[in-house]
Amino acid sequence: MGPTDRRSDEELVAICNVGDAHEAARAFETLYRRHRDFVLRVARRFTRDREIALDALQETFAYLLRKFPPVGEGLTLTARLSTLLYPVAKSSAIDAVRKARRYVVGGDEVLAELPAEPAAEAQPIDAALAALSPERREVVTLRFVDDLSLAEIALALDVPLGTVKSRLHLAIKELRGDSRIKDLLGP
Amino acid sequence: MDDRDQELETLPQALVSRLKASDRAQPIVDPRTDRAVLDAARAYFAQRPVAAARYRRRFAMPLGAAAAVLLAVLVVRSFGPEPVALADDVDGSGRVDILDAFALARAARDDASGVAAARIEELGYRVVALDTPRRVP
Repeated sequence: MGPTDRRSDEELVAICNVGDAHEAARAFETLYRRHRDFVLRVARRFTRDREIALDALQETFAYLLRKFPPVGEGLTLTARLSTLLYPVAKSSAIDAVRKARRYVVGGDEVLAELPAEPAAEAQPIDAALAALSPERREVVTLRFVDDLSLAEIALALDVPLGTVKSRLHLAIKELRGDSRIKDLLGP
Repeated sequence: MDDRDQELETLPQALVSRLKASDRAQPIVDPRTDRAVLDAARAYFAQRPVAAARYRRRFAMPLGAAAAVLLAVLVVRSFGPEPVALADDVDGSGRVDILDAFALARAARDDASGVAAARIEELGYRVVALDTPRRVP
């Protein structure tokens, strides 16, 4: 029941909803292994810290777990699971960063600058991406890195489809004009 | 070509590949995190009954109800009023009531068949003592 499990997310979610203890745990493990890297990448984008991202990863799957009985009422997938996991991972990551900052700083600081700026040694592509506004960067990443459709992005971000299209159009236009990635843009 | 392909055309493949490579060059999950998540899942789902118990619970109510009904029928049949004898249904109505006593009295009067007055009286008392007419089994 590892990566070779051919059952769909819908089937696995259904087993988590109604299966017995053993079946449900196995189905959940498959879901976890299938989506773990995606969730970690999302968390990493908003934390830029591996340990905090790992905390967010745990919190995201704890949230998913609580959707199933006996605590939750069960989950019905109406879209790809990643569209459900994305906002949870993002929110968990931001919360985890807030907690970490609070612990270090000792105040009640809110991170208005999330996601954080890239490190100094970042590649030109990272710098170009970081130059975009957080909203445009998020749409570009979901579209081209995570391969979500425009409708799925709208669902994951809970914004209208037109907003997604507009942000994506402006982001692509901005990237095309960035001289740091000229060699990647072609003629 | 769907809107997805059109969008991909608007960003060169080299750039898309570099974006993917950059994002995926992230630290992987450690076994400790895997274990923590999966242990939590096992503990969570362990609160559920195992399959056999679940099936038992699913069928327990209907089986219990059926058994109760069967028991009630047996009890009623065992301890209920005794069925009256077929011979008491003099008029052949399928039940034994006061009309049978009258019918018995009429028979005794009409053909002098030798039915004893005591028999008529006994049937009359017995019928009056019954709350409701009894069906002949």
